[in-house]
Amino acid sequence: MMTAMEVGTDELVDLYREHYRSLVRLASLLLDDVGSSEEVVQDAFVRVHVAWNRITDPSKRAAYLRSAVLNGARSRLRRRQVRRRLEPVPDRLTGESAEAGALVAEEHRQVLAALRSLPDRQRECLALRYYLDLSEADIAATLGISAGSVKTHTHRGMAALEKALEEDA
Amino acid sequence: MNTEDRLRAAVRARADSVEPGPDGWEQIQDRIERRVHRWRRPTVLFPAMAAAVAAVVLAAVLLPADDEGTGLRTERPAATTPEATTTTAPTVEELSRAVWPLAGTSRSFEDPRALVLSFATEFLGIPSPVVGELREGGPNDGEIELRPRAGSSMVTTVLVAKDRVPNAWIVTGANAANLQLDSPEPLATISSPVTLVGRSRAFEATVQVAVLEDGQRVASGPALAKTFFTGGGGGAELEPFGTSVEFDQPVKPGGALVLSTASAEDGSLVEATVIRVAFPSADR
Repeated sequence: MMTAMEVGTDELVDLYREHYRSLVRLASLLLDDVGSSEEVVQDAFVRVHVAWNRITDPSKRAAYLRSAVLNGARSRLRRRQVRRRLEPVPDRLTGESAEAGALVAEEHRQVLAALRSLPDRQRECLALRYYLDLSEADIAATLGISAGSVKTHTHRGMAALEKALEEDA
Repeated sequence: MNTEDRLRAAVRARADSVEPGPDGWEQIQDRIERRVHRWRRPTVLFPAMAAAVAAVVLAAVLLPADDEGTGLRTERPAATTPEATTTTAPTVEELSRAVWPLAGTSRSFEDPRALVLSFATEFLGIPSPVVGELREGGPNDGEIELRPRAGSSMVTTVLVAKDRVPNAWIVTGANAANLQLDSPEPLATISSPVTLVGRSRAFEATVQVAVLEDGQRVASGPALAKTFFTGGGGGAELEPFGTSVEFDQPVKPGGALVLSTASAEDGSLVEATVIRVAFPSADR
């Protein structure tokens, strides 16, 4: 009998090799610690594995994976926001780990803080475009929205980012 | 340097500073195996359902859809094939996303907080809810916190969106921190029995389930199914659950699946996870 891992294992390994690192890095732009980013991406791979037979077009698996990562990151941020309201803790919005903090310059820290303060869709559109260099069509497929909406969210996100950085200056 | 260049430089610098651990693949394998193992825990499932649910889930996880001729396929219960249980792609393209206001009514809400108040009292049956402020997720969607009473720590995050009708807000779903539903996903097409997978934490470990078709409410009146299962208890951590719920034959194309928990004091609903679901036309 097959084990659970044997369904689509070779292809899943290929997906892992091709996308795991970049997706953890993408998640780290949205979340504030590497451990959570890894967990979100690992959960996304589990979701892809579970849905393997339903994703009949193999070329769509990467988009499904990215979408699962963004959904997981969004869900984690929301739970975190609720928890902070109930149990106030020091704001970690700009508090990346000491390890990462040492590596990211103050200028970058300001930009990332501004990015993380944007509404979900705007933040995700900007991260997908400026980190993964995805096209509008690929971003639309990942987020399940139209290319026109991608354009709108990207434009508004960039305008809000610019305004936030001007206020910080 | 313009803003685009600054953003590109910042995200690349941040991303390049992150190096995932070397055991990512092992962690994924472990999570997949644990997901399957979770279904083998008889204490999580109703004993009478355990065998049927385990067979369905193991078949769903282990078998390719076109895997004819294997021993497992012949063991699959005829009424609970995984294909018939849930699919993520909605088959009813024009199905409204709205859980509230109910499909077929002419009610519309220009104020999202008034919408959520109505959802809480009329759909969920919470007598004195406290509705928070709108947190915008984008130009046409957002979320609003809902508590069963002032000062309560139980929070349901209600997802709201602007529907096609200009300035009309609708509830598209709700998430309770103590009731995480992994499967089915929102807008899944479900048939009876539907398999529920997720994690929960509840008073006396009791989670209420309602399967509703359009026009029905949790608060009162008929439902396709109203039942309960035993999930995680009142400890600090959420506990995984897996169960199967049978429901009556729907006549409408859509409805809602609602998980909720009740107050330890008076039994009233205190938090709920709500997803919009579709029913296949063959079942109607």
